[in-house]
Amino acid sequence: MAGWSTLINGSGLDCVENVGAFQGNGYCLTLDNLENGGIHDSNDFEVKQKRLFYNVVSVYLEQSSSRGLVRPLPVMLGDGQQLDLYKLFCSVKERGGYSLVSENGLWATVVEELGLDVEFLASVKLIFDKYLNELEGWFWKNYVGEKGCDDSSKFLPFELEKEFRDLLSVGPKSKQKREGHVNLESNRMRKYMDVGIQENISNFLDTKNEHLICEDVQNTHIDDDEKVFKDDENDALILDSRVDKKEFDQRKRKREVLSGMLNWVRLIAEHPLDPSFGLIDPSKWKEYEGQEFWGQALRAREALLMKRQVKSHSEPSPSQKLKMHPAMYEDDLVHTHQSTGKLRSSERLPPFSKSHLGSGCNSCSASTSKLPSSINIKADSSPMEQPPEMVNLLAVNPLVNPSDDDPTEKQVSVGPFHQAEVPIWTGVVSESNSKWLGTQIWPLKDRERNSMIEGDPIGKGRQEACNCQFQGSVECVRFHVAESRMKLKLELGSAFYYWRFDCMGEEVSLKWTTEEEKRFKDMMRSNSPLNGSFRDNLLKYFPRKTKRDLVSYYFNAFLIQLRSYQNRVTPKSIDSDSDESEFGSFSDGFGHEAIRVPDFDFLECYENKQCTDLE
Amino acid sequence: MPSKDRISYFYDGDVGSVYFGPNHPMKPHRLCMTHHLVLSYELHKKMEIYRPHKAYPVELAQFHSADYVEFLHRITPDTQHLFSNELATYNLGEDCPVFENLFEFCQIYAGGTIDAARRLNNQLCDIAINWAGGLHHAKKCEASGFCYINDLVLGILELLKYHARVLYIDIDVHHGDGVEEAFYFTDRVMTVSFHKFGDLFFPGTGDVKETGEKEGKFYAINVPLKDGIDDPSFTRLFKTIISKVVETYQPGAIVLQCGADSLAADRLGCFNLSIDGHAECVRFVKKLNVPLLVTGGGGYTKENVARCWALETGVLLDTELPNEIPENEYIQYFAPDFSLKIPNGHIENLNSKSYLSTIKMQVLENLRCIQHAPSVQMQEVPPDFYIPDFDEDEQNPDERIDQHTQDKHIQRDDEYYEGDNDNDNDHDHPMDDV
Repeated sequence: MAGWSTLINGSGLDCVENVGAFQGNGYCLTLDNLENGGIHDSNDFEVKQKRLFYNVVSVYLEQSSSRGLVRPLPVMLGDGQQLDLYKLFCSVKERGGYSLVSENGLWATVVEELGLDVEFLASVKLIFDKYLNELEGWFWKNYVGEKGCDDSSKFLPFELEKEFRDLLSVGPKSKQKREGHVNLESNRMRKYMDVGIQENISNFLDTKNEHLICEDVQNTHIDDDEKVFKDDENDALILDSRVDKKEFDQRKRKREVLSGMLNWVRLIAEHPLDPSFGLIDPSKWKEYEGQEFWGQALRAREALLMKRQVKSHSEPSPSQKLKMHPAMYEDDLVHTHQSTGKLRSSERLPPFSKSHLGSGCNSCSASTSKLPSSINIKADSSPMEQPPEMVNLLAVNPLVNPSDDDPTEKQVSVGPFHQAEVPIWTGVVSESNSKWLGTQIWPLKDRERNSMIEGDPIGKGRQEACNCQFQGSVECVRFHVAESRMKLKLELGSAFYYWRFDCMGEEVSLKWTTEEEKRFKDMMRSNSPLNGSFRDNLLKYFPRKTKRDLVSYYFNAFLIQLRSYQNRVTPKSIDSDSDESEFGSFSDGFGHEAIRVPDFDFLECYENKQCTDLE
Repeated sequence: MPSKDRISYFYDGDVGSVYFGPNHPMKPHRLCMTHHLVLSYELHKKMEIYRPHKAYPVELAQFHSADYVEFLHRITPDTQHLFSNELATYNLGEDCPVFENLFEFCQIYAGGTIDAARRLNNQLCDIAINWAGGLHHAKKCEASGFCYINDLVLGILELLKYHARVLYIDIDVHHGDGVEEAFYFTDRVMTVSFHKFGDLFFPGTGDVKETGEKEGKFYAINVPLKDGIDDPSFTRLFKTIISKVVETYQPGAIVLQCGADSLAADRLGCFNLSIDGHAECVRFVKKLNVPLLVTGGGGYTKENVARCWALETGVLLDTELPNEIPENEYIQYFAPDFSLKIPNGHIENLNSKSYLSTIKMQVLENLRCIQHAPSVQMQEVPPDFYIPDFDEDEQNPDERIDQHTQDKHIQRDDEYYEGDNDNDNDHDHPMDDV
């Protein structure tokens, strides 16, 4: 990583030094043209993509009609208006796809963007569902895991498919949107990379670090600008004094074009057989004529790809045969997993597709999740400066290899700060430390054990039947719990206290007054534990309780009461995954009062008293 | 049927009241529930229960850097805002929050594992259990994945005082990266981890290609799995690999990390293992009849954690537990069935047969490399009266090997050096490009 970054810096410097020369041969002009032509281009681009899109859709619909699903084109709304599927697709895609749009209730904005009344919301959604949903699924599948290619090419010619991928990766709209972020993002990315070099790169997969770094990026943003500006001053020594802000921008761009190219070459080198990286239309080569390297790289790439395409026609799945990576044996399910995998709290990293979907902070989040792979960062940092095709192809990169095949995956850290010092085995047992072996708690040493319990068989389960009047009733269960507790207490003697069994179970609630218990419940009901200051508040409300008391009460009394209530009232919907979320079911739905079955309070007192009586 | 093994079980009542903070999936209260369940099944009658000593900072610094241990000792929730740089350096904060009694908690669970290792060393027991331990992500100089102090490394270091070779087995759903990393360069510890790998699943390491380096080359084994692996495939793979490992490596002691997040329906896990499948692995390791240190680990659906570890305590005691959970204070947590077994998970099994067999082949292939290049440490543990008649430091390492091993090695001599050389040349190219 470090080596690579010096390379970039080096090339950046070279570039700066050569600026004069480049200006001479109209390089800056080329860039200008590119920029001005950008808008023009993007219109062309849109038309082209639109046509392409309709081609694909019609092929797709034909395909599905052969399976008996007839979907007529063009698509009409209720009032005879024609619906532009392409626009619809784009705007949904921009918002993260069908499921995200539905989840976040964004259909209204989609409808609005299409210039329709909100009353058509339902039918637009339906149309998307009928016409485009499967297509979208196919698109994600192809994107997220390359492996889908083989299936999809069943109904799409190779070229069409490839172009279509380009289309899907960056619609003209999102491109425009990104344009605004160019400067911001490239600054961020630069800083990001710097930070990345300083930090130990291998730790980056950690969620926590991601956040830190994101913050860092934002905090040091100003710094970074200053730094760039300093660069500018240095450069001014080389260039003449006419260098104004605009030219500075161009210079920066130029630098990035070059580094972008390097990234791209590197990318290709690492995925020599992947058709999704950068095939450039030969007619566009002209635009790069000022840049010898570009041309060379592109030609080399072209040659490589030609080879590959020849191969791909003769072999059905060459990539599977060429690589023996275990992930290749994985069934075609990457996609399904991605969508079904639950978002599992902080220990699990954000699912990949998600980071792709954001638009504004897209590059930031996408690269945080993939930080160890330096190519991705830079691929992300450079696309804004590339002509449309390049944008697409580079932007595709983070999506192509969701995880397994990534050559730059997280490595084991080595060095004096990571490994344990293991002495060489000398054949002699080293110092025998019998000092700390733990304190024996059980069996009791002083024979204080009550012998009458001995007779019970070990490891017996719950008894099937008892003599209680109502078996399985609240009273019955409470009675037996108290009974077994008493037995345990008699048997364990002092161990009972060592193991804190005296602060276990509903016993804990005995130390709380009814008033306190009520206040605790009320607080639990009215506060989300998500709130950080909540526990501090709790402490304020219960000045005589320590935090330990509160935690103990929470697990031993509050939660158990809640569970027993849930077990009886809503046995099907117990969320055992999260204790905290149980408060949710508490406050809505049945309401807190429901827990107070008529004789609940009475029972509690009664049973607790019995418990103390027995003691 | 009485158990032939002597079992030491470690528990400290104080861990139950440790609280990581709201919405943190790690709930030490599960240890309290486990212990309670063990007692309600009356398993305590068949074993000795100890309260571990609280490990001293200097003991923790056997592995961890002294400054890190000192910082853990010093930091409190009230002072943490003053140390934001250090917090970042030591990776404390989100996943590994600073809470009250943090250091005491670390001392207890690390002390438990160290004590357990010492009891094994002194042959005071055959199996030692510390469900509070098993925090396998902690690194030498930083916390990671809910783990602060790596008790496993400390326990293994303790075992290494008496045993030439220690085998570490990890069936947590997450990769045992902290332990692997700590012993990445040594052949005195072989680490074997079965875990979910891919999709950026925490911690991100644990590909089959990671096999160790230097002397430790091929002494780290990783079995990367995909979502939804079920009992039959998991136990078959486990048994095949572990039996081959034990045959090849002949460990003097085994440390088994029984993270319960590989169970179905875990809050953070993604496997389909039933408690029986999980316990089957424990049973298998127990049957190897090697001194065994069993620890807990992950496990974030706490009723299931308690069920699993109680059942496995039973397995280690050769006691079959009836499915109906006896009445106890926490019975309400085990609703609605109040039974020990949990239904199997229904996550789609993404591990195809061909995938699993590829992984297996690759692991076995790596193991073969050890056979062909027997390590310095392969001799039997000498009896107590054995006194080496030469000064270790002055010996040429190669000669020393020969002195020690000439009688005992069954390997062919001609392959010995060849294999050794291969070992050195192959550092950057593990077997993955076959």
